[in-house]
Amino acid sequence: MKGIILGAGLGKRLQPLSNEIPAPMLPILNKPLILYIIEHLKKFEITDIKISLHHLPEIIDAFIGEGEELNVRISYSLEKELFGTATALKRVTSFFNDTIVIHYGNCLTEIDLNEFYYFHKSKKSIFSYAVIENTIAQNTYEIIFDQNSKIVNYRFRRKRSISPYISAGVFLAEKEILNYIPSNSKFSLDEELLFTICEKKIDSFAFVVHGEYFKIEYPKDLLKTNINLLKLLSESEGQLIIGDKRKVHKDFQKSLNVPVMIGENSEIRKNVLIKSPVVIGKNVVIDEGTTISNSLILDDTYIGKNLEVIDSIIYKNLCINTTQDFGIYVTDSFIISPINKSRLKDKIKGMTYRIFDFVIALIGLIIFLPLMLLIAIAIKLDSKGPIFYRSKRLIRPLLIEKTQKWYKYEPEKEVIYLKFRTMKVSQFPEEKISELNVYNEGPYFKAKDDPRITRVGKFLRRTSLDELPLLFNVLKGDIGLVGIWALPPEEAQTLYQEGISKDWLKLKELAQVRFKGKLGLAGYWQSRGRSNLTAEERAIHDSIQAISNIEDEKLKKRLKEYRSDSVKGYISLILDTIKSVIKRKGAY
Amino acid sequence: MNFVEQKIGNVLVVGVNLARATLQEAESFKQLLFNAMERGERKIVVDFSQCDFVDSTFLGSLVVSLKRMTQAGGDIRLVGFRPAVRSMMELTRMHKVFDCYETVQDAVKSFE
Repeated sequence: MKGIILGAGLGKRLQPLSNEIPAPMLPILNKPLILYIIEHLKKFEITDIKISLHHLPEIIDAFIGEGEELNVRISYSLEKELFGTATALKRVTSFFNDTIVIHYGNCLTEIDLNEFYYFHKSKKSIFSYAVIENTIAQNTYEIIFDQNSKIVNYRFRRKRSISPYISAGVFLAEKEILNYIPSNSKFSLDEELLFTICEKKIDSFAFVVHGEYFKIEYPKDLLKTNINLLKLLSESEGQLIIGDKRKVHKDFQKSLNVPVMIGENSEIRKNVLIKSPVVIGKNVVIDEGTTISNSLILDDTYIGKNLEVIDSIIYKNLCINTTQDFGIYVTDSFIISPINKSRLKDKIKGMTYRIFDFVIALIGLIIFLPLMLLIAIAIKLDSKGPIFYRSKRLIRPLLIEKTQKWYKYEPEKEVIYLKFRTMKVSQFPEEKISELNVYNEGPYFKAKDDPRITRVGKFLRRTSLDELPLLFNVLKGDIGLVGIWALPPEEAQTLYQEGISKDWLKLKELAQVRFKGKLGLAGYWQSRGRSNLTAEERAIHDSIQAISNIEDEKLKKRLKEYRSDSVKGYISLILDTIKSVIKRKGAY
Repeated sequence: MNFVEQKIGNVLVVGVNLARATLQEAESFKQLLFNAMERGERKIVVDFSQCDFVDSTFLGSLVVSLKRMTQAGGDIRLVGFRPAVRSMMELTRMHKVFDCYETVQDAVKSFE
């Protein structure tokens, strides 16, 4: 049997780590992930292996080469354009002669490939999925199979699980399956191929895998996998320190009561404290007095004196937080810790506003329902296309902020605004549109007489009625009644990278403050004339709006006057915005 | 009087005589600064020591004036932040847009 490792992905969810390290090369206990996969295949006498590459192929090639040192035969398939995991198979048609095992380049399993093979053969399967029981994973396809293990259906799991089985990222394939895969369009093993299998009732079976399973999709997975495997290894070896102890300070071991892995040539200086398991790479220096817990320090990293590192992955001078909600907080004294400790009082206050928003939005929707129905009919009669327009907005762009010693990193976060469609569906040339911008310069865009706008659309925009469906967003909790208006992706990126203007007064730092604020329908900018304001004025309104719900106790007291979560401030912003909408200020 | 003008040497000091400087006064404040610029004033100090609160519209008119002033080769400098205003200025990074000083004397001196 031959093997294929799919290692071409961009690893977007692993950014910015994957900007420099391709996902299959990310370290698990100081050894690249892909080595574990190759060793696993070798255990079952699979030594003829093809690796599909696209992103940073030279790094993988340089490390593994043709596999001489590993006693396997490695060849590569370089994908110039990424189409999907199934399309990648089509590219290597000539590699297929017998049954082939396909393994994702970002997961680790304990799957018994012999058993899987017998299962596959006895079922006379054309394509078999190894599946695992996982009820936690979200935004993934559940695989549904009958008593005979034949795959009969699939279901997209957004949040709640119905069937517990999802793909494990290991497959067995017969050459026949290639007939169902196109060669030049996006086709994935876990999506399009699965749909085709169910639709065409292809003989495809699901093999349930048990035992340890790790998938590296997000930075937090990388951290969790490393820490869990370190704990297992430490237990089986009966040692706390694993690795190179040559440059470890003599007192280090005395205070240690959790496992640590130390890579080659790494140095641990005086008074370093490890509070919960930590994996340290090669050539790392951890300077005096620093405390580290539950973290992964990658190769060639220096960590300064008297720092506190919690729940983080640190690579060179890049610091990544692994709790999903909030970024790393770096203060002047270099304490690194996530800030999402909200107190009970604040939670109750937050809930009260959420309930208030919900009730008001619900009342609004009930009142406007007849009007919304009329609008829907008008849109349908006026032009071809859907009633609603789903507008992608960024709550914040990819933020990389350099502080004195660290980079602070927060991944992109988006929200979909629901609006009535006001434009024709056809395409117009970009340049023509940008000439119509009411802002003379800067990142914001708003066209006054946009040719794409329909007749009904023009009326809806003048009256701001196109924004009524946003009340659904409020119901859902995406946005509140009071807060900042989220920007379209390009505007958000430009604003973050270049500030508001090309001349000297860029107000870059001022404008970036908006990305720290909560989203909402009503706010300073919305109530004070919207598109009639200059870019500077807009940036100032948004930034002050953003700091008005800051969660720092000391600042809260000091900024009392600025807070929009005082009942008075909250209501008056909503009323001001409604007034401004009725007066049709700055609505085109 | 909402705004008090005072000339120290060739520096115009504008005192904002409002506990809350908000959108109601923003337009007249902007007009005052624009008029001063038209008269040829190039060195202006704005004194906020009477203000507990400066809203976003008021700040907006200040920034718009600063933009016009620097294009004309002059500068607007700020003094006398009370705690709430100082925190707001720092958090919005506005203190990096303007040169800020503790007292009127310091600001006037900085123009020399």
